[in-house]
Amino acid sequence: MAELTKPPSAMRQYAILLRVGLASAMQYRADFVMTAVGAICYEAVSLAFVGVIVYAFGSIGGWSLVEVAFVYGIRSMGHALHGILSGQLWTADGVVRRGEFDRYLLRPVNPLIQLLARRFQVTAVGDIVFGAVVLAVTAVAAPISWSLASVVFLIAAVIGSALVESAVMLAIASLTFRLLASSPILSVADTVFVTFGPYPLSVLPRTVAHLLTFVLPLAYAAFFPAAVLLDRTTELFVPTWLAFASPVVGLLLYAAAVLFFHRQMRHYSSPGH
Amino acid sequence: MSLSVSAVDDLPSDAAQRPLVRAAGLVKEFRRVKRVSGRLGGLRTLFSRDYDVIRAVNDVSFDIHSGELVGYLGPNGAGKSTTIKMLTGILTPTAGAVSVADRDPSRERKANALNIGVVFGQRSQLWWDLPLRESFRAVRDLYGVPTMEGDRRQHELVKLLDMDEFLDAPVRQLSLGQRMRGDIAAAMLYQPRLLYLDEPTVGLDVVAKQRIREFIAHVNAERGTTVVLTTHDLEDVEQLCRRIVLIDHGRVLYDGALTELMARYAPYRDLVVTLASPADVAVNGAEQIGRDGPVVTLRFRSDRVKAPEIIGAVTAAHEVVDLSVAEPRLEAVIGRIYTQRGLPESPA
Repeated sequence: MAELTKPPSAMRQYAILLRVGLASAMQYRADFVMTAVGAICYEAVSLAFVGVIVYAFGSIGGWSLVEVAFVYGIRSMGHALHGILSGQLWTADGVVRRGEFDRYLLRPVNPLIQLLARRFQVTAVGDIVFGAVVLAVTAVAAPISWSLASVVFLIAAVIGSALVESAVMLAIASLTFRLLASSPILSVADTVFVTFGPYPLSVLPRTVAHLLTFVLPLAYAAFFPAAVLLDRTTELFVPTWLAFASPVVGLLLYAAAVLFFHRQMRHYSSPGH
Repeated sequence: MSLSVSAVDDLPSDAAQRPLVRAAGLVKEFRRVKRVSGRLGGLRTLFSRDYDVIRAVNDVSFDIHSGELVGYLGPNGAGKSTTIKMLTGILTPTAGAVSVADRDPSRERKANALNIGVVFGQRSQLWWDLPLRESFRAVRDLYGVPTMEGDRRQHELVKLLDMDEFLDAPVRQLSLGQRMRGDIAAAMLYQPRLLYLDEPTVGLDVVAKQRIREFIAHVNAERGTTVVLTTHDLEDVEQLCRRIVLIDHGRVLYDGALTELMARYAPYRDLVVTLASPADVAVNGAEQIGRDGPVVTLRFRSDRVKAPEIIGAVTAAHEVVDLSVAEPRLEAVIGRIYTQRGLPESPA
């Protein structure tokens, strides 16, 4: 009889778990709506903040308000997708410390998939709505003559943006298996993404810009692709091809982070002996 | 005194039949960072490279054959959970080997997952916010149980465990007994060959316990599901297990038939007599081990003297109002083993 039972593909299992996670979140409808609305308000305030800064200074490093807003738009949509994919990483240390991870190891499903899909990230619904609106508005307002190629690049860039942020967060969350605590480090990384994400990094001192390109690679998450689409690659501090490769960088970083997670998973020592 | 005693005589010992579970020389060590005390102790602990090595499981070996129902017993901290975690693939052994249906559980985790069902009494594996029915559906989908087959099994399990009335209630609203039945059913939906039950009756009332026990006996007898049962409730063991594996300090103290353990370490009966007038009782072949007013307790070796002989001797010497013969309880035997932290000497 057991031969009849064959687990479905990883993608299908991910979809099943998302369905279950969404159903769980919908059990608390009021909470669901309020969390989603709250997320939109939070994002709107941070957009207003960027607006105030650019408005006060007229422009940042030669980037006009609409151009900065476009960087923000890419970052915002990328961050929303990142939230759907990786929001649960914030709970990784609780999952590991309380031994919920035991249960992931007992099922015929990749443990990372079970962690990522353990709950549906409700704030991501608000983020997606907000991100889509901001990206659409800024993309139209920005001085870009849109072609099929540039639209395809924009879509790839947004996905790449999500993958860059997710890769960083996943790599940090992987440390949970050894450190048993990762959310403080996640907070630091998140703060860096929120603080520097929506600005043209070329205005920063070179060292900081390099740090944000090669150490905490947030340049690929919005600034580089925006520079490509706005045709401002001449003022970059890296070779132009690297800016063009941003979506690929996202993909590679994420693949590396997934490998890293699986390596670190070997250090899991379940609580209670 | 030898620490490990083997007494597997009336159990399947056919060499040709490969065991379903094989643990050979299992060792699991945990490293714990040594706390540094004194000034900035917390910070220095963080960077310390000094470890204490704790050996939770120390050279444990046993085989479990298809269809067995084995009690895996030991006091708190004996290494039971760590062993179970190695058998299920949650932990990788420091040394030694495990195989379940010829697979290494930690290396072939996914394939192994289809063969085993695991229930932790202390921790639910169901989706807290979803109706039980939805949890069942999720498990069936994740394991890829074919729809018709899944419907049939679920229907059967719902009937066996009497879950109809709370199938649509969210798990968080279930009583402990209902939740436990749900957990066990979820672990049986994909029909695993091997079921690990870690304290499945903990915290349950008498009726709920009995229902769980009957179900365990049923799946073992009717479906041939192999069961490894960890419990502190020795009534579970007395009612269900023919074989027990007893461990402490990470080592196997006893592996064999339950009856053998009792015969070896508690080969006595207690005769409790109520006398018409209080008195001490002295008869050949029995020892007075307690007296409470007119109630006297006599202990005798049931393999040497017959109960009627003792009763005859007592009634000949005293006027007896009431009497009863009590079998030794597993609890008494296990209790002694736990307190002595080793096997007691067999009574001579």
